[in-house]
Amino acid sequence: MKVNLDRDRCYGLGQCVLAAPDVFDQDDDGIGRLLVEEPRPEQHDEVRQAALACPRQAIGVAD
Amino acid sequence: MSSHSAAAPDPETATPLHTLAPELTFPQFERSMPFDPPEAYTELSGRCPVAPVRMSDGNPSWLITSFKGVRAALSDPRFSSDMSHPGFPNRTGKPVDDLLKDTLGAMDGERHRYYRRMLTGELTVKRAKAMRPVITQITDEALDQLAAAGPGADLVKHVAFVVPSRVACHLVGIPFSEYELFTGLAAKLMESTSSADQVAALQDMVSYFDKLVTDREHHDRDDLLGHMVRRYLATGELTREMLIRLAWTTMAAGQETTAHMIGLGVAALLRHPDQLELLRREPHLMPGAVDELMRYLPMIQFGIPRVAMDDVEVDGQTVTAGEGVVALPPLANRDPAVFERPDELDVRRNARQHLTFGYGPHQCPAHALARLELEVVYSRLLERFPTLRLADSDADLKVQDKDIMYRVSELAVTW
Repeated sequence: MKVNLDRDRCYGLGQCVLAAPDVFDQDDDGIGRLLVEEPRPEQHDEVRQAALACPRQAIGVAD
Repeated sequence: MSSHSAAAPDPETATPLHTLAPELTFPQFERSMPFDPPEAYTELSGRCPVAPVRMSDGNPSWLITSFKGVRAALSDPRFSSDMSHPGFPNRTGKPVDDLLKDTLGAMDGERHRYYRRMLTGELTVKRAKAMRPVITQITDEALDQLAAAGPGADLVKHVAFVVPSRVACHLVGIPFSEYELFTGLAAKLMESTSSADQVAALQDMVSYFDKLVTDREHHDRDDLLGHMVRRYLATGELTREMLIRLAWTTMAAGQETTAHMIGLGVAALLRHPDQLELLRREPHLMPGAVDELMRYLPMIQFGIPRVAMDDVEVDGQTVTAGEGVVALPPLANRDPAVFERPDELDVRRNARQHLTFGYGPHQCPAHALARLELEVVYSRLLERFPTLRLADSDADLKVQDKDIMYRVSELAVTW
């Protein structure tokens, strides 16, 4: 799985950080930061949850 | 995934709203079960997820009740939050509120994004987590007050209305001793019936915050006002007027909603003893239970209004430019296409996607803090009072069911 995060779309809500705290973080303005581009298989489910929860649809997931 | 969730409109479905007979008037209040939305919506939702309704001021609007439709409308930039637009749904029947003009909730696009980012930095998941010790201390003090009041005490008064207010004061930087001053100013603003009263009340609110801002210009304070003064006022990115507007509206927005979720959430758990027992046995379920309670409880009564700036298709229905829509999260949260057994409270389910915080660019910026507050309050309450129950389990729940937020007005508990 490959994850990408569109920081220009991101509004800094942090839904992704709640869903997948080991994959996403926020900078000082709240804007999302990707910690891992290729998450481990056991993280795939929470990454999909993060993509679903993102209110800006800023997270792309390619299997 | 496309950047817009709504598709291009299909001319086949483009029927102007004003030519359609309204399915019902909005809002509805009649319900037979205390934790369910009004039945009139439930019946409509299955049949017509984007339905013509008549608002209380007589004008037509579309009511959106499906999960797909609510998400599409709230995340599509072709819908505007500008409440001065003539097609914007008026839910209260009162003239457009001058008070809310040029606040974050009424802004669109880049202007909204510019101001919004200043707040989101203060409300990150990390910042919320750092507040856990303070929230726990504030909660424990409120529970001391509940215990001191003795069995039969009102949880709404002693806990629900206390914790969110104290947390908001701590966050923004209002001394708790002055909290009642703030609520007094806010109440005067909301209750003002003439524009002269409103101008005077707003002036009082602005003067109060002006003093707090002046204090931060002379002293370093580690609170939202202190941070915003140093980061944005000092650099000229924010005017004093806008800083004050952001601060008081944030303060006002964050408290009652969380307070009502505490009251409703505890009432729902006490009325669902199997779920309560499960949470006592498996406390690690609490963060998920918070989302499930937020999904299940129909707190938002008047929905989230928008106006279409272009023709947009929403869940199969074309909304024509200039028409208003009202997205109704409590119905979307019970959409069977997304949540199995939607009318059941099930704290084990994954309800993270619920729409009670809204969706899109205007989603509640303080959701992480609100979730944490609810988790701490529910958890500490169950730990502190292992035998907590309703003082009168046979009595009807005391609710306020005609206001902007559906809520428990009083919750007598015993232990």
